Amino acid sequence: MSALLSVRDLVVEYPSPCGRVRAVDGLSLEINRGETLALVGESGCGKTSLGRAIVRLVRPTAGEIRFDGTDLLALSGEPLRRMRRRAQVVFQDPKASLDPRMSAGRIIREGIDIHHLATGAEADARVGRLLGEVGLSRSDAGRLPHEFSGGERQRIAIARALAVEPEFLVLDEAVSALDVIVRAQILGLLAALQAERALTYLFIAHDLSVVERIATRVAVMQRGRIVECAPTRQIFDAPAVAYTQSLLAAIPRVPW
Amino acid sequence: MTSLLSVDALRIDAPNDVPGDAASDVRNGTRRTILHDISFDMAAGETVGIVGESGSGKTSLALALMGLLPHGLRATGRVTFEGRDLLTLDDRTRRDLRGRRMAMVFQEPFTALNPRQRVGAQVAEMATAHGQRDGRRARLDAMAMLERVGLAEPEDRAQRYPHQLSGGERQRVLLAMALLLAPVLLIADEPTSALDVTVQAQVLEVLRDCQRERGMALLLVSHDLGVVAGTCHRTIVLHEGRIVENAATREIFTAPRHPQAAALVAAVPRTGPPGTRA
Repeated sequence: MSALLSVRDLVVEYPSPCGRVRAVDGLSLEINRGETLALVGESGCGKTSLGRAIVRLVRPTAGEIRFDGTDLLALSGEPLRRMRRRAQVVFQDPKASLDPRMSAGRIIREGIDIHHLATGAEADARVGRLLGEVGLSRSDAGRLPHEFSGGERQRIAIARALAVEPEFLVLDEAVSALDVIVRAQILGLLAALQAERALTYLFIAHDLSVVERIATRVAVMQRGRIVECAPTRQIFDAPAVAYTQSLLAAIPRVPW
Repeated sequence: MTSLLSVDALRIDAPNDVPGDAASDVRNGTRRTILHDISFDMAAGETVGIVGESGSGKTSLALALMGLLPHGLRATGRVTFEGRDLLTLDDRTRRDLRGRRMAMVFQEPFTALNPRQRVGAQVAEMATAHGQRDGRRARLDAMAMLERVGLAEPEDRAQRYPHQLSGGERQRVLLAMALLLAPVLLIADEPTSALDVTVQAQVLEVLRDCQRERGMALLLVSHDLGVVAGTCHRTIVLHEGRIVENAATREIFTAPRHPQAAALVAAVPRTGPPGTRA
């Protein structure tokens, strides 16, 4: 089993009026090729900061991030750009993460153009295939984000991420804004795409119940650190840490 | 059993070019009638869940009951609350009922609060706006209610502005405003969807406790049957603007009749602390 991503002693800090705030506090973790690691914790625990640091959207204060053996933090310029193609992000709110003035087709195609993966008719064909792969139709390429439902917009965001043929996806609360039925559909889509494309996922969520079906392992995060990390079954059946137990206890219970 | 609230053949239509998110389906030309032939009754002190996927019309239903439908949407039918038809009330009577007899909490507490006013004053204003002349009395009542809904350090929090509170704290403030005048009906529209699961559990507990203590009727709107299950005895399932199921919550879980109800049941994660798994 080899680690695709390895994070060591990572620190992410932000300036604030009352000094520096430490969002990620000396955190280490590994994500194996082909697995889904769920990162679960409450608002403010630092999970989004960690996800963003991993794809270099924020610059860590200290620590090391290795992606497929390469030190991510040492990269810049063209090598960084090439690395970015391999690790993509899907955000929580597709309404905010999709340009409202760009058609779905252009949104998906932009990465293909930037990374010179295809041109002309070949690029158009790729966009069409991607739309099909995420459960939309080719004719949707010309429509604008507001013409889609929330679930469909998230499908566009997934197609955009997949367009550059990444190996790794950070899914940051990617299903949290969706209603339960659409959420189940998107989780199914993500599982199918992972199997077809041998993808590795970092699945960030605040709700343990959401990750049960999709995660290989679960890392529970509190105040910038991982407090427990174990295979999913073990987290649900025998949580070792009180904080994990409290997250499990918060899941609404159905008495029947 | 006399009804507290009786909805009879309620229908909501959207004429062309209706603004606002509530009518996005309509704008896209997929649906012009948001709710069709909605009829149900609620007894005093009863807890009823309204469940359905996005766009099923559940928020429009809640807003119609409160008389808060976006401009341009037209409600027809009859909504009788304490013997009065809400749809034909004049604004003045409706304003008087709202807050005093029926109240509502919304999904996003941030947008429901005034960003430029301290939250303690906003809660107290609920009392003064409804005729409490004694400002000191209003403030004391507001503080007591903030404490009742479990706001930690209420004296300190009351002095803050909405942006200085967490999402869970803001939702407790809204709950305090809604409960301050002891309404007989509380409509809660996705009150916990924007909150962490741990905070969601706390807010639902406050809601349940207050409902029980006061014998208040509660209409809880959610896309998640799991949230409704522990709180509501009866659940109404909405699908494409129609009621497809109206039964005891337990019955919906154990023997859903409509496919949409079955899909909602299937989407509820059946997890919980070890040993309680279904």
